[in-house]
Amino acid sequence: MLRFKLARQRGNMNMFAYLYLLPAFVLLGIFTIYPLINTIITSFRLDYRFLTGDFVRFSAQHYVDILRDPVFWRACINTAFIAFICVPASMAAAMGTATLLHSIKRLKGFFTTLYFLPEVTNIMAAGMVFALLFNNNFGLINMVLGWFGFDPVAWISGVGIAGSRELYMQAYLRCLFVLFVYSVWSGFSLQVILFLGALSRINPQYYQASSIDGVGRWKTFWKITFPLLSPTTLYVYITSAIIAFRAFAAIVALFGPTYGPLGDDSRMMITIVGYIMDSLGNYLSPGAVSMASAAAVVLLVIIMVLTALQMRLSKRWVHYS
Amino acid sequence: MQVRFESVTKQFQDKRKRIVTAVDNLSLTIESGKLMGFLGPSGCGKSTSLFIIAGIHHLTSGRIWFDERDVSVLPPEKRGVGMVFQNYALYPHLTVRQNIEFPLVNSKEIKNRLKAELVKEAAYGSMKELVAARVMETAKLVEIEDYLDRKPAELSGGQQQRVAIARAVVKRPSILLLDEPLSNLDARLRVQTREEIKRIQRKIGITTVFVTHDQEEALSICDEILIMKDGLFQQAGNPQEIYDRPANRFVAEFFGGVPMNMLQAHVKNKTLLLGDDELRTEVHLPDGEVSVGIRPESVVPEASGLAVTVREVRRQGGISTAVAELRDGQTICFFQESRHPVTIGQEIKLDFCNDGICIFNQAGEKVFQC
Repeated sequence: MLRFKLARQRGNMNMFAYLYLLPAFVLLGIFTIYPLINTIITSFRLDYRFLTGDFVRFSAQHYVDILRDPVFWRACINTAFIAFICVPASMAAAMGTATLLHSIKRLKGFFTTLYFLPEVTNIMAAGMVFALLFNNNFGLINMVLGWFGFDPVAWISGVGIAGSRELYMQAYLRCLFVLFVYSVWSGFSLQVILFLGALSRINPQYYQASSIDGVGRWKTFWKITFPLLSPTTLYVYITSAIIAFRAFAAIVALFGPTYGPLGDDSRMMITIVGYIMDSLGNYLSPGAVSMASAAAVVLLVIIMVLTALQMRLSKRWVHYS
Repeated sequence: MQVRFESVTKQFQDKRKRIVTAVDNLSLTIESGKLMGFLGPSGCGKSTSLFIIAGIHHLTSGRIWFDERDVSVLPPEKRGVGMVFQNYALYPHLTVRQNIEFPLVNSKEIKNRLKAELVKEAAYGSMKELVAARVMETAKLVEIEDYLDRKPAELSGGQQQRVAIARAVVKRPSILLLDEPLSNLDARLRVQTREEIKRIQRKIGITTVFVTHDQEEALSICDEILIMKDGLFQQAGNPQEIYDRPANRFVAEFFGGVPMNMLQAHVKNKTLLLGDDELRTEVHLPDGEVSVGIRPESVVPEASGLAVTVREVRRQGGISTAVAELRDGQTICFFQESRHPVTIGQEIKLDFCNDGICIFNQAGEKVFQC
């Protein structure tokens, strides 16, 4: 009876809806919205001391500081490398693999499971395995290269690079290659599963129609499959890019806590999140926490702008049926 | 182009790895330029037969001939057929124009053919012009030229159907295949569209195969009909011929708007007896139980004949039917004339038209017609 009465009063119904939403909203407020606002405020506090809460005045000085810091720019470049080079490469590989997997009948489940394994592997463990694969002395990659008569490559090494810009760049490119291989591999698994799901939702009659019309496989992929996958492609890109912008643990696992190979003191492979973590590590020195906050806000703005841009651009090439 | 099935068999493996025979030893000739209907209940193998012509399904055994060419192992794109799918399979991300021109601009073989035509016909300056002209000509044929820039989702079911037909015929195939093309349309549109299909088929004079489970559809537009059941050939031929002279009990009961009356009777000394009443003499069959099939329109109330009692009178628009009970309890349905209406409870006598009685044996085969 009570419920019936309440149901008749629509205004009250709204209140009930809010009441049910309250627990989630409280949690969101405490752990997401409040820290977000607090971070923005902190980033503008000059020489903020974390322990006492003192600061000199409100200022944008820390933004100027980080934008003038070459390490921050290095972090931006490395992060962009993951988001704009590694993620698209991984997606292309995943889309191709999913298309091939979709077309086979036997062992489909087996391969799907196999491809999904990286997703349930710990990032640190996987990163360290990669570091071992690329190990200069006893890594599998160098061993295989050796079989074909190639000299071993010092993949992750900065020994002797100090002072030589050329040697530094070479070491940097080698490390980027390792990062590329790792990133493609680690993003690949979930993307394959998502693309497989999307492929199975495409009406098979489109393919029968195109085969009757004599349209080749390659053309069929570009003219039918690719456009019909576009909503999934957009979703996968946005989520993968956001994950890429937060890359940190993998870098530490691959290159160590100094974000660079042995012999490098420039934090060669640092990412934006790495930069934030480093600043936070110095929390006792005045201004360090504000620096970290400012870097975090910059990262937030970058992600928001890029996501908005992607959503806008996507209107042109994404087909929702 | 003539299409010939030669002992065609198609077997599938189902999910439990059992072998299912979808088409069993089918032999059939579809004459050039004819509209052929494949008819039967769901799961009878009619769509499979269509997909076999298209080349989407491979044969388990047998051969398919297009005129004198054996196409049994040719892939779909080499067969030059046009197909309309049950759900149209229009590409949702392309406009109507892009859908229709899709085979023209994306198939290497068709492109080469168009190039050859371009050389022959000087009327078109470029490939683009030729394609545009073809698309427009086909769009006009199916009367959708005003919707060329819309997406399929913005069209009604009937319009989508036309686009699907346009996409199938724009490449000028030698055979047009239609897989239950009307099943997604409402009743009125279905009647309209089937006439439309007939008109288009006549106009371009293309050999057409039309799959349907609706016998009225098949009866109204097809030149020839094939009736199948459980993968097996039942009967093929002119629709009226099949209606008048069904080959077996299944065809007799399946084909016809008002179902055929099916009565239990027996033959004794060359006489067909329904209970104690004599229906026909000179029935050259051995003595025994038979089934008798009589179309409602072959039953006529007369001054003398089989004595029955009217139990039910039904009027459906212009058609009026009556159901009468025989002395042994079996019922028979017939059309009643408006000049001599019958009433419930009335006792009347029924006679049967010449050639209106089909006699089936226990296996369901027709053994005699009189």
